[in-house]
Amino acid sequence: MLKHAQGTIRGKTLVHKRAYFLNFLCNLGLEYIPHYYGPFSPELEAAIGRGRALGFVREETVDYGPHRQLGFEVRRFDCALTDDGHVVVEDLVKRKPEECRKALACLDELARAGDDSYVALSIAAKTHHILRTVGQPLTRTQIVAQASKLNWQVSEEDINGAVEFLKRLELVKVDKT
Amino acid sequence: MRELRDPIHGFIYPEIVPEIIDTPAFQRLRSIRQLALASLVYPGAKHSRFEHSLGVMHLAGRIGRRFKLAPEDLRALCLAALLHDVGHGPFSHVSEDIVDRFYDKNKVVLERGQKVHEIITQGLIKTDEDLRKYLSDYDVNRVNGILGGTGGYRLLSDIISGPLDCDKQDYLLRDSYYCGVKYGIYDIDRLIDELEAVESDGDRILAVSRDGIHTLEQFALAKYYMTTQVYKHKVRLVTDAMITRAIELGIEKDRLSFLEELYRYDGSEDFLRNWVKWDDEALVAAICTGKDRGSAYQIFNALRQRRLHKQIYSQKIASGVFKARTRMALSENFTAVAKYIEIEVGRLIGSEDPNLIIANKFTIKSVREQSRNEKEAPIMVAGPGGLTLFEDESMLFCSIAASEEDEYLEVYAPPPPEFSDEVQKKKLRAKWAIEITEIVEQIVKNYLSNKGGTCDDGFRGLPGNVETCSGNDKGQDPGA
Repeated sequence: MLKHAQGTIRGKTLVHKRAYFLNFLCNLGLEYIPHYYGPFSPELEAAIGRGRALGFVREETVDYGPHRQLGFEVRRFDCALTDDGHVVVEDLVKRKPEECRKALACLDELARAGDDSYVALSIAAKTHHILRTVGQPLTRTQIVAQASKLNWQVSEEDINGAVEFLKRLELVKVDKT
Repeated sequence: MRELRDPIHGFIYPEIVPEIIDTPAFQRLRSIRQLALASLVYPGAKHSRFEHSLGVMHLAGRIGRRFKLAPEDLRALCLAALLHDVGHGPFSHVSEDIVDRFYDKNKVVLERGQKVHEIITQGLIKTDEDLRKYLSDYDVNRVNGILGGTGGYRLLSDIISGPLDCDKQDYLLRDSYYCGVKYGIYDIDRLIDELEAVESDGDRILAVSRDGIHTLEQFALAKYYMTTQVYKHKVRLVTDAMITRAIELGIEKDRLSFLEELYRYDGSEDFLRNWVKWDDEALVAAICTGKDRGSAYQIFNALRQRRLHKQIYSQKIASGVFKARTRMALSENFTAVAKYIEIEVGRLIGSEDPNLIIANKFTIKSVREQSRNEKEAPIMVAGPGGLTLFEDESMLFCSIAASEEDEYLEVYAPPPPEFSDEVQKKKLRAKWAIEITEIVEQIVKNYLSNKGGTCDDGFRGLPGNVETCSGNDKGQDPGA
C-alpha cells in the first residue's frame, strides 16, 4: 500500500480503511471486528507496529494545534516507508511478483473508485461491514439503525456516498424496488 | 460453605460446583507450575495453575455479581474461569509451543488463529469423565463458547479473556507476590469497581469508566514491568528454551515414545485421557529416572542441578546491526534459519553437540501495546459521550507516541570454561557478538538466494556440512 502511494499515506486511519477494502478485493483473509471507529483488524494493527519496530515504516506526526471546541491537540499520524522499507518492498515484489501485481491492481481499482478521504472510506467500510454481517439487503434507514447499534454515528446522506463508492467497487448491488 | 484461604484474595468461596475442584483433572493443576522453572530465578515462584484458576474464578464471580448477571450466566462465567487452564500441559506455556509443533497435521485441521492447546482445553471440558459428572451438555457448550470467544457471550468472554480479563488481573498480582517483586501490583478493588458492561451491537462488552483510567494505567504498567522483569527475564528465557529443546530432542533424537504420545495431538479422546495423566513432576520423573540417558535426560538433569545454558548472544533485530532483508527474514522466517544459526554457532564456539545450542527469538511490546494483546481489541472507556479508546483518554499513554514492539534474537549455550572468568567472558562475548552477527547475515543471505525467489518452501542447503534440519523454533518445522 505504501509503495502504491509513492511511499507515504497521510493518516493511519486511511491506511486501515484502504487495507479494509484491499482485504476484500484481494481476499487476504484478515479478520475484522466491529469497533467504535469502524471495522478493525488487530492483525493489521500488529503488522503496522512490527513494520515500525523493524525500521521499515516511519510514523510522522503532523500537529494541527488545539481543537477549539474539544480543547485537545489535533494530530495526524502519517505512515511512510523508510529507505530500508523500500529495500524490503522491492525484495517482496521480486519474491512474490504475482501477489504484488494483484495487490497493486486492487489498489488502482480503489483509487479509481475514489479512496482519498478517510472519512468517506470509514463510512463505506462501516456500511460494507454491516451489509456483510447482516447478510441480506437493507435500506439506508436500516443501515443507519444497525450502525447505531454498533455506536457508529452515520446519517442516510453518509450512506448514499458510501453506497456509490461500494457500487464502483462492485461490492454492493442496489435494488430500486 | 467450603472456603479456601488464598494469599492474594483472602477467602475464596467456590460456591458454584465446588466438586469440580476435587476432580483429578483439576487437582492435576497443583503440579503444573504457573511460571515453569522461574523458581530458578525467583525461588518463591513455585505457585501453580491450581491456585491461579481459583483466583480467576473468584474475580470472575466478583465481576459477575457486580454486573448482576443472571444465575445461569454467573454459573457459566465461574465455570469458564475455573476451567480456563485445565488443558495446560507440563510446564504450562512450554507445552503449548511443543504441542502446537508436534500435533498430527493429517488428523487435525486448525482454523485461522486457533491453537492446539485451546482445543485440548475445550476437549477436556467436553469429554473428561470426572468433569462431566458435574457439567451438563448445556454447561459444556456455554463454557466452551465463552473460552472460545464464540456463541454470543461477548461480555463473559471479555471477562475471561479480553484486555481487562480476570486472568491477567489474577496472574499479575499472584506472580508478583510469589516472585517477591512489586512490579505487578495495582489497585484490583478500584479496577473492578470501575469496570462497566456497555451495550454495543445488541451485546454487552467490558469497558472501564473514566474514573478508572488511572487504575487501568497502573494495570497496563504492571503488565509491562512483569513482562520485562519476570516473564522475559533472561534466565527464565534460558530455562524455557532448555525445557523446550529437551522435549524436542526427546521426541526427535532420543525417540522417547511416551513424549511423542504426549505431544502428538490427534484429536482423539485417548490423547486427552493420556494428557491429564501428566504434569511437571511426572514429566521430569519419566525423563530423569527412565533407562534412556540421551539428550532429554542430559538437559533435564542440568536443569535439576541448575547448570544452565548462558546467553552468549543477544541482539535487537530492529537495531542497525542487521541489514534490512536480514531483519525481514528473521522476523518472518526465523523458523527456517534457526537450526542453521545453531549449527554454525556451535562450530564457532567449539560445541561438542550443536543440539545444545539454542537460537531463540522473542518479542517485547512497548508499554503502550501492553494494554492489549494481538488478538484482543483495544480497551474501551465508557463516558457520557459514548465509548472512546483508552490510549486516547489516558494522559500517560497518549503521550507515548510510539506503539512499537522489539524483537530480539538470542543464542544460548552451555557455558564454555572461559565464562568462569568475568574478564574473559566479556571479551569472548564481544568477539562472538561480531562473529555471530556475521553468521546470521550469511545464513539469511544464503537462505534467501537458495530459495530461488521464494521464501516459503524451506531451506535448500548452505555452504558447509549442514545435513540435518530439525529446527528449534516455536512455529512450523522446516524438517518435518
